[in-house]
Amino acid sequence: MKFQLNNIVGAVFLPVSLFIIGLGKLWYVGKVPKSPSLDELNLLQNCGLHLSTSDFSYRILAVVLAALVPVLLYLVMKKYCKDQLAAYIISVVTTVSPWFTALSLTLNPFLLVVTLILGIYVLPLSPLFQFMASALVLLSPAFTGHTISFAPPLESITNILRSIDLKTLFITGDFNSTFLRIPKTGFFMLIDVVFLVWGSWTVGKNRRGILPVVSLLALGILQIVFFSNTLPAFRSTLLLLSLSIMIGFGYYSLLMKAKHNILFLLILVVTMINFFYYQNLLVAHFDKKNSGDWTYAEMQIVEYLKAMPAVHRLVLGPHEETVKTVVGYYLPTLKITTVETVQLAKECAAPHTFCVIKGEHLKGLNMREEETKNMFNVYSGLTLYYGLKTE
Amino acid sequence: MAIHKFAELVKKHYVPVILILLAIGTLLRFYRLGTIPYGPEIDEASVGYNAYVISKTLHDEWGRFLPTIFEAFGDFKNPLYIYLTSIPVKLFGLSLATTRFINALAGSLAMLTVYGISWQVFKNRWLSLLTLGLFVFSPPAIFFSRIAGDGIMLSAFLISAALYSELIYLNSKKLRFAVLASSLLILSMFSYNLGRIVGPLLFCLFLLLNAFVKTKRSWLYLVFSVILLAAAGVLIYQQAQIGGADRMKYVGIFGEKKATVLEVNEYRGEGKNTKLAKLMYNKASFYGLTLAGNYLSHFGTDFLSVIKMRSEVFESYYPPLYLVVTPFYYLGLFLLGRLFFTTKNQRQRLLLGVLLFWILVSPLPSTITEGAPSGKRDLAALGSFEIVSVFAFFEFLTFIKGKKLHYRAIGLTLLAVGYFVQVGIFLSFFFHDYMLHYSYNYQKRENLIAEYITAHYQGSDTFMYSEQISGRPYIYPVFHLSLSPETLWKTREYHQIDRWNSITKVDKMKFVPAFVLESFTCDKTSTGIISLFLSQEEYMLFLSSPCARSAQASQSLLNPEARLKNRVYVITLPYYEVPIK
Repeated sequence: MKFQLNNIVGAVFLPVSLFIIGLGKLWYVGKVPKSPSLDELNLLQNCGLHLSTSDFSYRILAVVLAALVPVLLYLVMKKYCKDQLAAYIISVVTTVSPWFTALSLTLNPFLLVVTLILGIYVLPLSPLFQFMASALVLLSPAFTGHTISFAPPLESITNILRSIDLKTLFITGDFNSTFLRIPKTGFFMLIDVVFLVWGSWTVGKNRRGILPVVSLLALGILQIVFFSNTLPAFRSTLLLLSLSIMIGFGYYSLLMKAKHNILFLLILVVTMINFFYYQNLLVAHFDKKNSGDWTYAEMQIVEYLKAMPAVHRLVLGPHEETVKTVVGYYLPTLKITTVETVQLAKECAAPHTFCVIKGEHLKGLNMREEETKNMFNVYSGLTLYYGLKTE
Repeated sequence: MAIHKFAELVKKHYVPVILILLAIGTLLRFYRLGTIPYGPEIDEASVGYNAYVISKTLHDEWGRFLPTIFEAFGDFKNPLYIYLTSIPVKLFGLSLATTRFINALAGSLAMLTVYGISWQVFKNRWLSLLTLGLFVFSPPAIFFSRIAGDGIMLSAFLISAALYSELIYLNSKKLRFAVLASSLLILSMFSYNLGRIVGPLLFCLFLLLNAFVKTKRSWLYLVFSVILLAAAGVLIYQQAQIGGADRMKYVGIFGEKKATVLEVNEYRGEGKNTKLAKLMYNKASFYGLTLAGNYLSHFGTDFLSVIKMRSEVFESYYPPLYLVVTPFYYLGLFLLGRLFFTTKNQRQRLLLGVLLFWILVSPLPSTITEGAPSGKRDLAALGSFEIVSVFAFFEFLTFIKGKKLHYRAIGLTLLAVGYFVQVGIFLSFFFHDYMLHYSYNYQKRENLIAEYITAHYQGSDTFMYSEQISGRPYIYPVFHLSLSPETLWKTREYHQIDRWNSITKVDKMKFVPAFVLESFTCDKTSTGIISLFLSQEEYMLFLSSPCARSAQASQSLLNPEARLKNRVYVITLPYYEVPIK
């Protein structure tokens, strides 16, 4: 009876609870971030979906995918470690990690890749076949949406070393991946450094548990090597997943050791403090600090143009692909033209035209910043674009 | 089999092997010391010149008799390195080689102390020999032995020597080594500021440990230590009175105008200054994060293993660890920690504790300053990378002992080849590429001007250049000229801005904020020759001035391929009043 109950708990209750915990991220939909990424807009466009500027319901899909990850991870770790509790703790630790939370905020192909690869590892296949199938998924543009790009060997090694740097992992995150970076937060919580050290030793002792870790680590290295053009945070997803597992092992092992004393409580309290601290940073500061990379300024242009029905044409200066993509998605009927700098003066003078240019092009139009009436800023107030409207 | 034969050969000639390694290491630290890297850099020139003045007059460049701190530009340099440098300068004259000599010597002696530390802790001659072998080719050890802006290497050497002495004392109970350890730590505090942080911490540790070691006359040691500490305290207080306390204000991370405090205000503002925002975003939490991040970065792969092309003079481009050594370093840290907690041998635990304490406190000077992680401020850890890595390597050898011989042979051969390839790349970079492409970091332009001035000192009545060329230009020509202290004191004109000394005139040389080149007037009745040194921008302006035709000679001091910002032209003119902004 006890055995059957244990089985039911392990097979049903725990995975379902993990899924529910994962669905807790639905709270972020529409709140953080408050603007779409270019990847999301391209995906929506390709699917033929046209949503309003305040509609972020498509992100529910990201949350559901993200909620599947801890469930699949639980099944994988339970299969290898033969320990339900260890598998559960590892999955919870992964799902609440800052890196995974940031990854779950938006629709992105690497979230899909992680889900698929974990799904492969759940299947009863040989380790070698699992690895090869996962590598195929990883390297396929159909899944990742990115083509393979190699960097020279030294650069690849540097990228790998930077991905596992302690300060990047636990304090700052990656400065190059600003729109995935929670301010003042690493990929993991600060306290996790202790559990990483402890977990690295523990997982080494558990010969069965080490297999998925090593396998994911190898895939993680392949991901960094093969996607040198991708943002560091994206191309480190599998590496971070393997580190999450080690950290999870660390939590499990230390919690079991500290079961009957005050250390248990201390671990929980410190972890909760770390968790709430970064959650506050995410909710209150993510958009503000990363607005330069999220389409914050571009969405202002969209809102401005929506209020200007007299404008029939948008003229953009060179290298303003982001504006073109964002405005093109939300205002599909508006004619958008990109021109060279020398043509700006003539094109911006045309009737029913609104011109959006960057600061460096103002000189070509013999204009100073103070003379422009419309400025589109990032949250900090730094002007990204200048708008010129013919009277 | 070849490996066994090699091992037998080394065992038979153990001492000669050590001597050969020491010779190689010394050669790497002294070879072309006066030219690689280029120099002198501004702090080297200042250190060298002050050593020269001390050697001549027992006063510093500001006329202070045997100062406890050297004012220099207003940056207040620590005294020990300058006093020691005065010896080679006295014997061989002022030059870049004699200025760098003490650091090179300290770097060479550090090979012995690092070997000694390894031997005292592990009592394994092979482990110690390999540690020495790795340290001989250590990039920061070679790099910092060859520059002299501060007593950085001297300080690191004194700390490692102190540690070595203390370990000898803990093993042998001979009191003189404990006394020596304490003395060396105190000396390290007066050679470079990293000694001010690491030195006292190690001093306290040694004091604590030695109090429990029962030896005859250990009370003498305690009394001596207290007197030494008191004396150091008095000296440091004196230094602070003169101005040494300001250094922390501009390099430290603490202060109301520093980034962390500004961030606190920014985050609170974004959080609308609510109670929660104030609870979460405050100096304690943000400084805690900054310090944690700075500290952790010294154990991160980005600092330890990634090559960075930096423009700072006192940061080694090459990281502390070669790539093949990196995994062993992390494994070594882990294994040492585990051994410390699990060993039943109290003596071993004591020695490992000292070693680990040294490793853990070494990053502190860099942790509390801006720009962390900093290779120079972390230099107290010099030698620890090799000791830890080699320890892990030997544990690894034990682990693979049962594996098939040819797998072991292939693996070890690959490791060795990988290591020597990386050593070769580093040495090639440092002794060739660095000189070729990065000499501008070492103020090549200013030194070329100074060399020109030296060569033509009698031929011109005035030499003049502006701050467009150099912020603190006087030190280069006075260094190259070995200008007599009396001439310096008699002819120097200067003013102070925020305690920084700005020299405007020394003998025939004038240094101005900026020229008004468009407004030159040509006074044909004046006598005297002026040599003007102009940047590219100033030179273009000068060419359009009415007096360009009066120029007697005009040449570029640097080849035409030099980047625009680095070019300098020297124009020789009949003397007249040069309008200055």
